[in-house]
Amino acid sequence: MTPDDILEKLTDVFRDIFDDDTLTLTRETMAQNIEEWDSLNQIKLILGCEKEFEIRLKPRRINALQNIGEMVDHLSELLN
Amino acid sequence: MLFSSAEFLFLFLPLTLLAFHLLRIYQGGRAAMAATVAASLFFYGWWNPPYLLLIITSIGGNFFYTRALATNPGRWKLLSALGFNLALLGYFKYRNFFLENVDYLIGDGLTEPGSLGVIFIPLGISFYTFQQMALLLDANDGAVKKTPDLLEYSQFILFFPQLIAGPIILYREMVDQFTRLEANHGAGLSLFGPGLVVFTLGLFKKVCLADGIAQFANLAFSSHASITMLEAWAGILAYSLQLYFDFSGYSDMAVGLGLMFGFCLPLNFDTPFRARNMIDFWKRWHMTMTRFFMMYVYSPMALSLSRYGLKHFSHAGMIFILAVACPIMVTFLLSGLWHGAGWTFVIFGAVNGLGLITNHAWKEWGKIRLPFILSWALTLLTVLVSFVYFRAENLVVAHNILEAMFSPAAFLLPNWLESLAVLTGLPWDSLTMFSAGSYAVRCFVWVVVLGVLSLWLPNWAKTYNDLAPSWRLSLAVSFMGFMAIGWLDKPQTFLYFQF
Repeated sequence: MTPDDILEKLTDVFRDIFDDDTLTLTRETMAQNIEEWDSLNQIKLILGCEKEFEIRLKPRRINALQNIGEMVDHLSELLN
Repeated sequence: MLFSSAEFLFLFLPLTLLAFHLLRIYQGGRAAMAATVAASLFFYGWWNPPYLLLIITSIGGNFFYTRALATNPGRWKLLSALGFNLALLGYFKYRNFFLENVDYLIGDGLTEPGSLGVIFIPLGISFYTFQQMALLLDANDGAVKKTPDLLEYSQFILFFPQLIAGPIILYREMVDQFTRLEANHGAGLSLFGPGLVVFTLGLFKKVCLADGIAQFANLAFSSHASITMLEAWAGILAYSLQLYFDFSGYSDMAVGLGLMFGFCLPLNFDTPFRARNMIDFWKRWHMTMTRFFMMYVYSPMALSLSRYGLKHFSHAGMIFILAVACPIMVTFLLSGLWHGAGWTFVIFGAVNGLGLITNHAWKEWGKIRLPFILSWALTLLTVLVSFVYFRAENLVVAHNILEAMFSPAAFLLPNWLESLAVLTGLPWDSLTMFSAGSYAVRCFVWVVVLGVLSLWLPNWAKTYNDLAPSWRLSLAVSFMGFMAIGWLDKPQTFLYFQF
C-alpha cells in the first residue's frame, strides 16, 4: 500500500469518527487542527485504523506521533 | 529559593544565566549544560540539603534503568524500574495516608491520625518521578531515538525552571534541543527577550494577583464553620482565581526561564476559564499533567477495555461504561491522588471525572447542543465544586463550604445592607466576614478584576514566537515588573510546591 493510499483510507476513518464528510487530511495535520479531537476520539481513531488496516496498534506508540505524516509512516511501516 | 524571591531574581538567576551563556560561547554546549546541572542541584538543595541524596538516588537508579531498557527492553526489567519509582514515591508521599486508612479499616485504634510522625514530602517528588517513569516506558517501547548520557539525563530531570512543579516535560521534546545545543546550534540568546517578557508576566501573576487575592480565600476556608452563602461563593471564587494565577504564573515563569536559556518548554495553561465544556477545560488546565495521564494511564487502559467491550457486548451503554466511564474515572482518581495523599484529592478527581463522563455521554446521546453560556457556566460550576475539595484541609471543611454555597438557609445579608434586609424580612446580623462593607467591596473588586483578567490576559507563554517589540509591550512589561518587584517583600510559596 502506498503512502497516498494510506492517507486516503485514513481520511475515511477520520471522516467517519468526526462525522464530517468535508474533513481533509494532509501530512501536516495535527491534533490541534481538529477541534473535536479529544482522548476518547483518539481511542476511536486507533480502533478505526485497526479495523480498516487489519493491524494491531500500540497506544503509547501512537501517542508519540506528532502529525498525520508520522501516522502514515508508522502505518506503512507496519503494513509493508 | 522561590522564583519570586529576591535571592533568586537578583543573585541566583543572573549568575546562572551568565555562567551558562559564557560557557556556551567559550566552552561549548556540554560545559554550559554541566553548569546548569550544578546550579540546579544547588537550587534544589537550598530548601533541604538531605533531599539531594534522594533526588540523586532517584536519578542514578532511573538513568541506569533507562539505558538498560533502551538497549534491551523487557517486561520484568520495566516492572522493577517502575516499582523502584513507585516505592520511593509511595514511602515519602503515601505511607502515612495508607497506614492511617488501613488502621481505620481494621480499627484497632493504635494509630491516631498524625501519630505516625510527619514525613516531609520531598519537593517536586511527584513531578520528577513522573517525568522519569514516562521516559522508562518510552525506552521500553523503543520510542527513544537517542539514549541520553548522564549529563543529558541530569539536565532533563534537574533543569531548575521545571524541577519543582513542572511543566512535566517529555524527553522526546527535549532531545533535539539538547543535541543542537551540544553541536553549538542551539537557540543561544535569540529567545532571551521573549523569555523575559513571559517570565515577567508570570511573576506579576504570582506576586501581585495570586498572593493579593489569597487573603479572601484563606479567610473563607478558615471560617468554614460559620460561613454564609455569599461568603462561601466569594471564597471559592477567590481561591479558584488564586490557584489559577499562582500555578499559571509559576508555569509562565518556568517557560520564560527556559527561553532565557534557549530551551522551549511546553505550555501548561491555555486560558482555562474560557473552556466551554469539561473536555475543553482539561485540554487547557495543567496541560502537561493531563498529557501524562492521557498517554500513560488513560489510553492503554481505554484501548484494552474498548477492545474487550466491543468483543463481548453489543449494548451501547455497556460499551460506554467500559470504554469511556471506567478509564476516565480511574485516570482522574489517580490524578487526584497524585496531587496529595488525602481523601479530599480523591474526591477532587472524582468530581472532575464525573464531569467528563457526563460531557462524553451528552456528546453521545444528548439531543440538543447547550448554548455556550449555559455549558460554560456548568463547566465552571463543576470546576468550582472540585476546587472546594482541592483547597479544604479535610472533608468536614469541604462539606461546610459546599453546604453554605448551596443551602438557601445560609443566604444571609451583611448588616450594612440592613435597611434592605429589614424591608424584605431577610436575616442579616450573623454575617461575619462581610460585616465590614469595605472588606466586601475589596473582595468583590478583586474577584471581578481577576476574573476578567483570567479570561482576557494575553497568553504569552503560548504566543512568544509572535511577540514583536513595541512601545505598548515594553510599557506593559515594565509596569508588571515594577509592580511585582515592589510587592516582593512578602514572598509566599507556590501552591503546587506541596505536590
